[in-house]
Amino acid sequence: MAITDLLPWKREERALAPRRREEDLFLTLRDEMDRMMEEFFNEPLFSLRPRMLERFGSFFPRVDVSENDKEIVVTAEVPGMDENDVEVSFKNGILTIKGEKRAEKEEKDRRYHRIERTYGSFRREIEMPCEVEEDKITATYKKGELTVVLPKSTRPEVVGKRIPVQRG
Amino acid sequence: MAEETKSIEIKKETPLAEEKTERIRERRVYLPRTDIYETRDDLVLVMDLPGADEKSVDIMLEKNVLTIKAYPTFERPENYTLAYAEYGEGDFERSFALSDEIDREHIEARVKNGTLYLRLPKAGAAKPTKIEVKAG
Repeated sequence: MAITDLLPWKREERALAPRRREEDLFLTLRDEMDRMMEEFFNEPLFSLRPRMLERFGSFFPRVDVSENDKEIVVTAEVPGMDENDVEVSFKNGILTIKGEKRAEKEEKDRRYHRIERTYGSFRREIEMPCEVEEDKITATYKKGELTVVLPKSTRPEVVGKRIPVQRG
Repeated sequence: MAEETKSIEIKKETPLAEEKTERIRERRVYLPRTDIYETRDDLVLVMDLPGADEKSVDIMLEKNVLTIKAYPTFERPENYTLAYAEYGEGDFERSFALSDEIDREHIEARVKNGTLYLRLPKAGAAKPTKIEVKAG
């Protein structure tokens, strides 16, 4: 069990919220400013957001979630790892990505000038906003990026039925 | 909904060769996280460049300034909308001033799993030499 599992404010991480718009340079700039302001004034001291955790020196992969009408795609930046170092699982509508980024073997006469990369165990949980086809989930590791594709469920009772509105 | 946790097997994909295109793009540029260490003979630089491979990294050593640029490519589903974002897509660029003389003929660079490993051997003059002290 990771220590982060014990923290009560972990749930905040799970919420899916629109965070970035790329269509317009000014909107992007405004979003960046918003994010900076949020970080300065609204960030709780022990927030579990990646940037805060990275400052404490632990590896915490950044995650993007995108979707179209057929599938949800979760990507995570996990450079310098191997597909065997990452474990992906799905239960009760929650996608879990966990693993460990190992530091290089320490050699005797190494003198470090700069250490910015972070190492250690990590665990991310992403709650899906809709039901997905569990048996068709695929995960791929390529060029330091993990991509998990979760096809949305097509069962009629999940998709819902559109009810026409009649004129009374 | 199944009660037991399903483990999803991760497939490893080897990136396909991409066509060379002109590398001038209006994208954001990020500073990649880098470790630099020195051994007796080499200066070693390890840089995280997620999304980049050996074809999308440019390394330039001009005088004593080392510049590394990377142009990662990300495959995304068609007609997708971004629901939640923690990392921005863009290029990587970073420069370092090297204090030691480098043996330019024997620089080695490899990219593995989105991480660049660059070994810069010190030139003869920059290598430390131990001076033997004789009894007088």
